[in-house]
Amino acid sequence: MAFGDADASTPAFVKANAAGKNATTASFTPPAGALLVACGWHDTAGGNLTNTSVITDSTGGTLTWAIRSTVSKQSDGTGFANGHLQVSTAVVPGGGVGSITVTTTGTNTNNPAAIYVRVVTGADTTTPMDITPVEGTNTNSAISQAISTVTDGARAFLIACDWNLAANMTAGTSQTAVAADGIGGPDMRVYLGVQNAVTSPAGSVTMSTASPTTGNTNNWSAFALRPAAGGSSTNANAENAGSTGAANAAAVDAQINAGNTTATGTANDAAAAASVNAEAIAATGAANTAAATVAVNAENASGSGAAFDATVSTATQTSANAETTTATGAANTSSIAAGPSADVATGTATANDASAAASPAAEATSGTAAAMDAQAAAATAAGSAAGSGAAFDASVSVTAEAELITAVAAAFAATVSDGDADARATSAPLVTAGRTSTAVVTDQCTSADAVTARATSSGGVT
Amino acid sequence: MASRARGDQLQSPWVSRFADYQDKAITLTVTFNNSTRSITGGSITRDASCMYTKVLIGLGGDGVPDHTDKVFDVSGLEGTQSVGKAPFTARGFNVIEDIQALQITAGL
Repeated sequence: MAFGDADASTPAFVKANAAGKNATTASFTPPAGALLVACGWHDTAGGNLTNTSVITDSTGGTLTWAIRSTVSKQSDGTGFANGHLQVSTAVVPGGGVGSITVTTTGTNTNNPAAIYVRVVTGADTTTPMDITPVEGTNTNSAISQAISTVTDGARAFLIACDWNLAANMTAGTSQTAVAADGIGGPDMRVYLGVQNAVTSPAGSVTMSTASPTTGNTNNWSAFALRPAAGGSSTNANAENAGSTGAANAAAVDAQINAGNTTATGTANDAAAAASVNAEAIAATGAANTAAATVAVNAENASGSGAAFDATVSTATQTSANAETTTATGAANTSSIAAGPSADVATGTATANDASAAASPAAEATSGTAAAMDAQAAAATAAGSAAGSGAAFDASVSVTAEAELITAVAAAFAATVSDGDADARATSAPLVTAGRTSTAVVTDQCTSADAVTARATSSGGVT
Repeated sequence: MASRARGDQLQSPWVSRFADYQDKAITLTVTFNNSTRSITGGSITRDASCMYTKVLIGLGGDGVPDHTDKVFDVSGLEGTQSVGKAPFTARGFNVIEDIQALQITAGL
């Protein structure tokens, strides 16, 4: 999904010809933090110089709408065409708004009206409009309006109306019509187009229609939405589903920050989920290394508030797996490195517990290949190198197992430094010389540690 | 929709398309007699995996389109379904202007 795409919660276009001179969306539930972009159109009588419109909603005041662009004879002068259009925005608060409806209502307009509300996530909610919208008018022509975005990754739009009711407008090059219809009897054509991709790097982009080119009288506004700082794209895919060429590297750089560097408010939870996969599902090519790096930090470098737990979960958020569940190729090494820390480098507060849990596995659950070494390494330390506070206990618990539950090969050495070592060949038929299961524990083996070499259903152990 | 000039009377058919965020759409087509304006029938087309399942005409008493009693529910439809004159009449639509006097949109 690219910045500026419609969120799934976006309601359908609405057209109306009611005495109320309004149009109301069906109910929709926008996500918290989303930007709502309301595009409203109203027919007007010829020469009307006193028409206005307003966006309202069903929240009873939770949403604050800001008018971003109005194009009409009243707003822009008698040189503009008849017809009225307006762009307004509102930001959904952090607590959400639940299911809502949004309405455009015209004053001193004709009955025909229309509304489209686009729900956009990832927008700069402080300054959602990347540029001041550029407004224009013409007759007997398609529309062409150049704008210059200032932020990398901005998304450009074109809203228009044709009061003279030529055919429905069609999108210009590299653009898509989001709404193109007649409203009223019909009495007026309305149009909303979007550029197919974000503008990157920032710069000039031309928003346009391809047709009609005669018989129309157009008003329009070209505008661009600004993405939130930190990037405009969250998807990067390199897929080669049917051909024999390599699927090239796919990279995603996503930053999600909850920052409050100077204020006294709490910096709320920041969450990032990243998965990077190199898969050769049905092909014969190797699945190359998949790497995922996730850093979750709760930092309070100079403030007086506590630094909350920083956690990295390998079970659900970060995983690096090399699996060949049905193929004959070897499952290569999978590794996970995780190192969370709770640091109080210069402060006086306690450094709370730091914990790391990692369990990489090399498994050949149904193949005939050997299950190679599985290694887990974890080191935890409570250091007080220069301070006067106590250094609390540091502990590490590691379990390394080499298991071959139902296969016939030997279970090779399981090695652990301090802890339990268990080498099992549970249903192996025979463990003979040359196929010895060995459990090794080195250094500080205590009575609490178990050293076991098992061949539970074999003909013997040598 | 055919190219027309402002003030010209609408000619049959009247087509309204409502697309979701992935451009999967519900489309209502209404056919009518250009002289008498009487509705003769129509069709509804719903794209596979379109989010919308209903064509909503008018508003409920609370001002919410979802609560209107003039609904064409096509849940489960993928493709085109013909609509006879009777379903339009049952919803109070006898001439094309009956529909155009209200708002129209699509809903879940």
